[in-house]
Amino acid sequence: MSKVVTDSTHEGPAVGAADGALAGVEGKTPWQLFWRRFRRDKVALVGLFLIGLMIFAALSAGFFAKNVVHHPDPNQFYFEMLDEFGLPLGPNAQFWFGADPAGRDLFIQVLYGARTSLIVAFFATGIEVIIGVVLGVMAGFFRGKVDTFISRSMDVVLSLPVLLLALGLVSACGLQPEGCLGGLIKPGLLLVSYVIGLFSWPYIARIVRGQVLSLREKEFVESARSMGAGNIRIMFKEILPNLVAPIIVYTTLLIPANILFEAALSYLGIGVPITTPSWGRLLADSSHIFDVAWWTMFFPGVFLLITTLAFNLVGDGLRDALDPRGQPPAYGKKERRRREKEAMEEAAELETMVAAPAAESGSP
Amino acid sequence: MRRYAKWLALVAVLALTAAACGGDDEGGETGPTGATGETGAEFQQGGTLNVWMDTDVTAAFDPQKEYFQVSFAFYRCCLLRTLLSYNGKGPDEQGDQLFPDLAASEPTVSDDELTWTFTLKQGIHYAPPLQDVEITAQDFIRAMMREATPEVAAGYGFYYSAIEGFDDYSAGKADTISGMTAVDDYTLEVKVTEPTGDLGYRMAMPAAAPIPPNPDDPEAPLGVAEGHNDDYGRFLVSSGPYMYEGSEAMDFSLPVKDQTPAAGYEPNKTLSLVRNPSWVESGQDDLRPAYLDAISVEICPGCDQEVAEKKVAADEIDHIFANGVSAANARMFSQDPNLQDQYFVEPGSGNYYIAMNVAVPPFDDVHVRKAVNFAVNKEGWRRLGGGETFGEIAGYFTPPGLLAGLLEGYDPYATPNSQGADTPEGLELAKAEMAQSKYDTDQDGICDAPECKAVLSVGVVGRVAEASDALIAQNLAAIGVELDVNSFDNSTAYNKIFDPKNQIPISTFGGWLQDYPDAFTFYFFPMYGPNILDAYNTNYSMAGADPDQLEKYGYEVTEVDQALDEKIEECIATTGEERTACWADADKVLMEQVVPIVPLIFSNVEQIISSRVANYTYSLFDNQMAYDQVALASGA
Repeated sequence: MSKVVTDSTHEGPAVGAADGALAGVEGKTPWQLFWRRFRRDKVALVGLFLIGLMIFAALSAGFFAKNVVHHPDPNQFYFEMLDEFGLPLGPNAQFWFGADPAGRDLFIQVLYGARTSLIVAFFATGIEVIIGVVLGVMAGFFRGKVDTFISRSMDVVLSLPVLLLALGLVSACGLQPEGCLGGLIKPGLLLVSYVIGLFSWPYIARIVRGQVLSLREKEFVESARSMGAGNIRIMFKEILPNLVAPIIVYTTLLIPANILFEAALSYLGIGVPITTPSWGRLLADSSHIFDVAWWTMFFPGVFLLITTLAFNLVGDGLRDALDPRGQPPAYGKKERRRREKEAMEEAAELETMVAAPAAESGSP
Repeated sequence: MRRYAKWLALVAVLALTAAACGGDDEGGETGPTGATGETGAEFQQGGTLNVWMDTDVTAAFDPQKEYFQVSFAFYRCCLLRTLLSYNGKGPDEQGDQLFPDLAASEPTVSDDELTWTFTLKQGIHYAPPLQDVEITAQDFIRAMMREATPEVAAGYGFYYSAIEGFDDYSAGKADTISGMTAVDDYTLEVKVTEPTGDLGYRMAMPAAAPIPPNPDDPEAPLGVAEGHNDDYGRFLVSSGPYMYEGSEAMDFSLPVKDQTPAAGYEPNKTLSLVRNPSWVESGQDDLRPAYLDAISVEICPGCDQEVAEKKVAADEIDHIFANGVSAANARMFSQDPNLQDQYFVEPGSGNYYIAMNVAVPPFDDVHVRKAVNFAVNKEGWRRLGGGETFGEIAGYFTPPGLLAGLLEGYDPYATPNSQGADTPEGLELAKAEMAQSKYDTDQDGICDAPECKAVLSVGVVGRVAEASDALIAQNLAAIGVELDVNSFDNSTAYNKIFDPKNQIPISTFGGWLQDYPDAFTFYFFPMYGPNILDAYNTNYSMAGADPDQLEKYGYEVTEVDQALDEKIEECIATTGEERTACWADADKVLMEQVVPIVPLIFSNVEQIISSRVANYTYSLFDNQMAYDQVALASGA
């Protein structure tokens, strides 16, 4: 059976070279097209696998702690794992990653640290995306004063020294048990997430605004308006679905950035408390002893590196797969040869299909 | 503010030791003289000792203001002589004893113990530019007048309130301190309002060091310090074996605003000390051999001490002043055969403790406080802080050196290996005590009252401190006391517990350091009810608070045990061995009856030196290497 690849978008199905000739040809949904392109990107798939592995590690940290290494409490101190100077001892059969600087099981700390990093990353990114998308859509759609106000607000936020402000805010709110804003912001994971989200939304808002400025002039928007749709409906029912691809791509790139931001805050001592395992915190705690206790920096560092790399790879893969004009990257000669062959086959098929109706219509 | 200054001293000396210190005493020698110190040996004269500090003193060496052990050490060894002083040695060589310094002999005390008479050595002159000015009795009165002058904002005038007329002068009610009289140039008489057994120690503090008159303005009440309320430290005229480099260029004949300080001290940059020629010429110092020609101190705020420690190993720096040693480098020094002789663990003069507020539930119940004492894993706490070199496990409050060993082995809350509730026996002991508490309604040894839930605990941030707080929280949770641990930066944390109105139930970073070798300094502020202050209060436990104080600060508890106050008042009036025994008894009252604290450790002090140092000596008074005792190795 012949196939035709149809890179369709919201603007309707692609018009084939010969509509009549495509009768009986199986069409593909956007999802199928996306997946077909994405799965060709082996590196992105590896990234996806690693993310899955990290999520699995985060979810199963308790199980591992209790049933595998038999150190159920991540905050349990094992003083036998500190030498007479209070320095941690290295990996052994009971402590696979050795001890952290406080004499706790580093393996369990790292597993639970994955939980912290992912929670902060997803939550902070969620805040960021929600604020960014809503304001970006509004700015692009309404234009005028609304756009000016939101865009200048973005400029202001973007011009702020984010890390310094985050340090100040986390310090101010984290130093009071009652938190800030009448208890709305309290120390801990949520505070870190709020800080990240509140200072990073303009990046995605700008991208969304630019897209909306273009989309609002399209015919389907005019069509919706002519049918009596209100602004809210047009913004969120007509325009927003067309922004899913860039939002997804950008979100996957924000997540690793936020993981690193959380790690940075924890490294600076103002992130999560010591009883909440965090890779950044572990790295900070090891900073003065890594030359005599390499494992305290190596394992959290490797996990942090792998996780951020994995999200970045997946983000790149998504961007390529969702971009109808782009080609997923080809790694290695074998892949390039495969693609060349596939392209030739597709061209041949298309040629055959175009030629067939011409023959049927018959030349005398 | 004066209490705050004391706290700064604690933070700098004790907390920094806690931060990441480590080491063991297998490699280095413990004691007043290390591997390179041979008592009685002849040492090379001369040379320059290179010293490194990561923080400057707190008041630019103003002797009336500095309330900081680091500056005390520089004064004692090098810059200022006092009527009585210390020999710069350790506990086994009478390092905590007073000896006549500028005084010719021990003071004589009247039968009623209210009049102390000091006779001065003759022929002792100040350093240049006042090398022609002899030290006389009036100079000590001048120093006390400056300490009492409100505009100076001195550091610890409270120690001299016992001198008759001191407070009146301070309040502007008198032109002189009536209790201090220069009978003649070489006889000083001091009258106190009540028997003050430790007056000798107080007169050995830097604030009591003589201030010379101004030869060009003999009527100036504060002598050469006149007009230098904010910066006398930079114009300090030395009486010790060393002086600021360039001191001779100071010109006190000029108007104050035109005077320039000695070049040898640039705050936060350098301190350069050179020999005081007047000290050499007088030849009358039995306490300080002062082998070195000069001491060069690099002050490097914000610099990485671990880098400096490596430089000590490489002989690029001879000594790091004030701080402990990082765990990694302590291990390196103690295990490297080439460095073992350059690493020392010395007994300090401070302690660490957990303060429980006896006026806040659930710690208003003595059984809860005793249960907490049983529950805390002191050995674990010490291990987190750096292991055995961090200090000795404490079973009581006062450092043993101040009690002549009278409480050796005393620990009313002993648990196996001092591991508290982390051992079954310790947990049982803690539960048994908790079961007697009104907050354990079913008497199962687990506190079940709401007062035991979310108990606010204040600690400080930092890897070691936060891990230690987490350990304490785990230990207390085992008996049902659930802490809501809040870690703050040092300044914020202290501001919270300094204010009695905050009613902080428990704070985990208590620590105290002696001002001089008498237990009085451990009780008068942290444990004495009448000294509870509105601000900068260091009696975090509200021990001995009276009903009026409790009401004033808004406590619901109306009464707390005041037995310790009575004991402290009894001890203050005693002297000699009776005084020491009295303080030991006071410690028992504190630990068994009042129980406002959990003593954790008596701190040690770690020192590393370069191989150039030939006569390492540790001064117990100021917990530092004694620069007046050390020499450089031949060829160094």
